[in-house]
Amino acid sequence: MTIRPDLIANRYDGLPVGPSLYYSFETQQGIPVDGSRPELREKSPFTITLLPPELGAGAVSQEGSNIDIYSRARESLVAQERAANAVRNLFGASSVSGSEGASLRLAGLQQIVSAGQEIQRATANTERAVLVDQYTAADILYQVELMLQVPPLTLLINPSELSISYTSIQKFSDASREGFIFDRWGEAQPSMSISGSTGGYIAGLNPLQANPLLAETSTPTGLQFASRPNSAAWQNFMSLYHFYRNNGYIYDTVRGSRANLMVGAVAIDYDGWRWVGHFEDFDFTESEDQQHRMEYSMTFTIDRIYDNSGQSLSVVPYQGSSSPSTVAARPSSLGGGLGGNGSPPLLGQVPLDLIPG
Amino acid sequence: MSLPVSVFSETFPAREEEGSSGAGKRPFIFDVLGPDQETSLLPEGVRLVLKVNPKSVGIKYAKQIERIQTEDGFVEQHWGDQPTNISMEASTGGFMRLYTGLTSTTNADRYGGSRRETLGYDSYLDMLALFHNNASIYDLNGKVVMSGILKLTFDQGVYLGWFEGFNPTESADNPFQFTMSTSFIIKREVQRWRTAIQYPTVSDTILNQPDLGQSPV
Repeated sequence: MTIRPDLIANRYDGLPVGPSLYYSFETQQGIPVDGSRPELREKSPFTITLLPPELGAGAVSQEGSNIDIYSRARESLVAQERAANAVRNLFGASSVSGSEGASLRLAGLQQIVSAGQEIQRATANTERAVLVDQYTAADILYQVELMLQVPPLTLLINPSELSISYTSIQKFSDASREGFIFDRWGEAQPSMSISGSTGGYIAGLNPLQANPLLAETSTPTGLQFASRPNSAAWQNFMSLYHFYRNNGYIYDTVRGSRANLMVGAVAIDYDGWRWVGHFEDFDFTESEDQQHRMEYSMTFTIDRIYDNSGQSLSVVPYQGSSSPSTVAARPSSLGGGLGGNGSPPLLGQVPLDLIPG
Repeated sequence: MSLPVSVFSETFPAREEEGSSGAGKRPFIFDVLGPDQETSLLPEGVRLVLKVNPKSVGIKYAKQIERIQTEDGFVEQHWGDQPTNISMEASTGGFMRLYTGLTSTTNADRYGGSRRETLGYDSYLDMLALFHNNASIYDLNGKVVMSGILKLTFDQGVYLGWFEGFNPTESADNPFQFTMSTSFIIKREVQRWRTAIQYPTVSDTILNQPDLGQSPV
């Protein structure tokens, strides 16, 4: 039996959540069981990523530390590392190579922030005077490093409803003798409403703890409320809550104040879109009607929208996931259209795509 | 020579069918007019026709009247009509893909395609583009510098106005499609009504009576 890395309960350990929440971990009993269908998740993944703060548009380096470029660099590990290093360099930190180097960097920063290691190096009063700033700088760097290293969160079960509200900022109510006057200032920030359900609380028995001679298991198993802490569904949901609490903020973890040191962002990837913004609220309901799962809803205010799907002009059959060579031949060209005659019809209304917006 | 067969046909595939063809089809047409509010900004012959008509269209008219109570009764101040509001509930239609049928796949990188490549999704993108545009003229920084107006034509009416809101929703209750609700505020409305029928008079009827060849009794 292999342990899926996305089902490790403390996967996001260390990610700050602000001064009003404290969390700790207890030993996992039993095995989290994912009762969802991975095939469906692969076809339509709903993924949430934390993005480090931007240091202004002018700070984009050649490699591109722009958050969108950084996010799109997930296509390969090398590209991701290169983009992450660009972000590190912007924050005054040196580049890191490999996961081991990243772990060491994180541990070193944690020592500075939590163990006061930097104080031991201070030899003069002038150096001591800037220690507070050093703490803050290390605090920022530590959290940026965490954001660069924590893996994205993919929901085990996609939301059951996703709605985006686009609103114009305009006024057509000032009356004149000739009629109403139309004023338009553009659009408000779109607001995304997300609601869904966790999966069922299912846990299995750890084979190492299983005793076939005993009729009773040592931990709750199967689909039941008692399995909740050990279940993949609950832990995935708590990760979502963790992300909501973090919200891309760089918290003041040294003093625990409510003054955020910097503000990053949260990105939601789904359907070829990337919505970058922040969570506004998060609700969940426990009800007797659904004892083995939980329903939630959240609101996400969008700062920027990226369409990463590319323009599709032709339609070809789906390629199986088992055939990477054919996947590479994605219909980005006009070669494989209907009937394979090399002249696929344009199914999109291209002229309307040209409307500026 | 055989004609090409259309696998997925739209409701209004040709312009000829958009008129009163007698088939009971009522197209829902959007146009983008420039700041003169008359000239179309779209290329000649290109208009946005909804692939699936809205399932509901609600038009809300209201007068702007203030009523003030005095010791001798009410004083009414009539300011005319408030801006008309049209609310629409629509659907993209099913995300139907060749060789696959209805689909909700979004992971194009892995599966070599997604629901993006469907007429239904395309109609959603068209509406989204139209909402973002909203007949505004933008500068290079995306700021609104001038305003045109959108022209909405359906039934016998032409409505000129702007989008106020656009709300697409993907829901497990309505799989393989998006539902869209929009709010549209109207500045001007043009209606085309029929003329009165010219009924024949009694004398016309007698004079025009056909000769039925009745023999005198």
